[in-house]
Amino acid sequence: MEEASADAFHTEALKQTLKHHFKDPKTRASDDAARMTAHVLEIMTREATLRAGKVAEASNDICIRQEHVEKILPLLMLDFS
Amino acid sequence: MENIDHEKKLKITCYKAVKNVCQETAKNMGLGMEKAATDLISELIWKKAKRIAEDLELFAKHAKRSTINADDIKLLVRHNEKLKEDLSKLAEEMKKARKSKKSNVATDNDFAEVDSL
Repeated sequence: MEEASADAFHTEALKQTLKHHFKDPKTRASDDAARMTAHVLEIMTREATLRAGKVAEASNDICIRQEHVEKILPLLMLDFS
Repeated sequence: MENIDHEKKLKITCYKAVKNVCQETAKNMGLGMEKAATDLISELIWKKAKRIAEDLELFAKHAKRSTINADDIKLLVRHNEKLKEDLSKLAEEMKKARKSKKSNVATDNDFAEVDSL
């Protein structure tokens, strides 16, 4: 199950995304760093979906909606800050 | 102009990746997920990626490096116990994988395969 982390956010695309936001053109991310960042972003995505899903279930909804996600955002931001 | 297209491409790639993870997770819960919900999470992740990039660059610069490495990520997640553990393990696994690729000496795993013949 853990290996799925490597796949969702592709290392190369993530490297480029990070590079796009760097201020210094010399700055780059190693492969390891990119994979670890991918892991963090995937965990955050899963956690957001899981928490929003619990809110949806509590409202007897079979579909996760924007309003459910909005409810869990504040605590999620704190947990990942 | 090219810069805007490049950023758009990266953003679309990010949105796609997030959508896939969201839908898989929702499916495992037996729930559907509307586009507005995955878009909201995608936007969050996109913004987070920018924040992360900025922080990582600062950490590496502070250590007088141009290349961001595993130590910088560990510093990034220092406040979150679970993430810290996960990432330390991941870093170890990647280190081991690189070591065993480099050396031609058989590892214990190789011997285990031979025994089973």
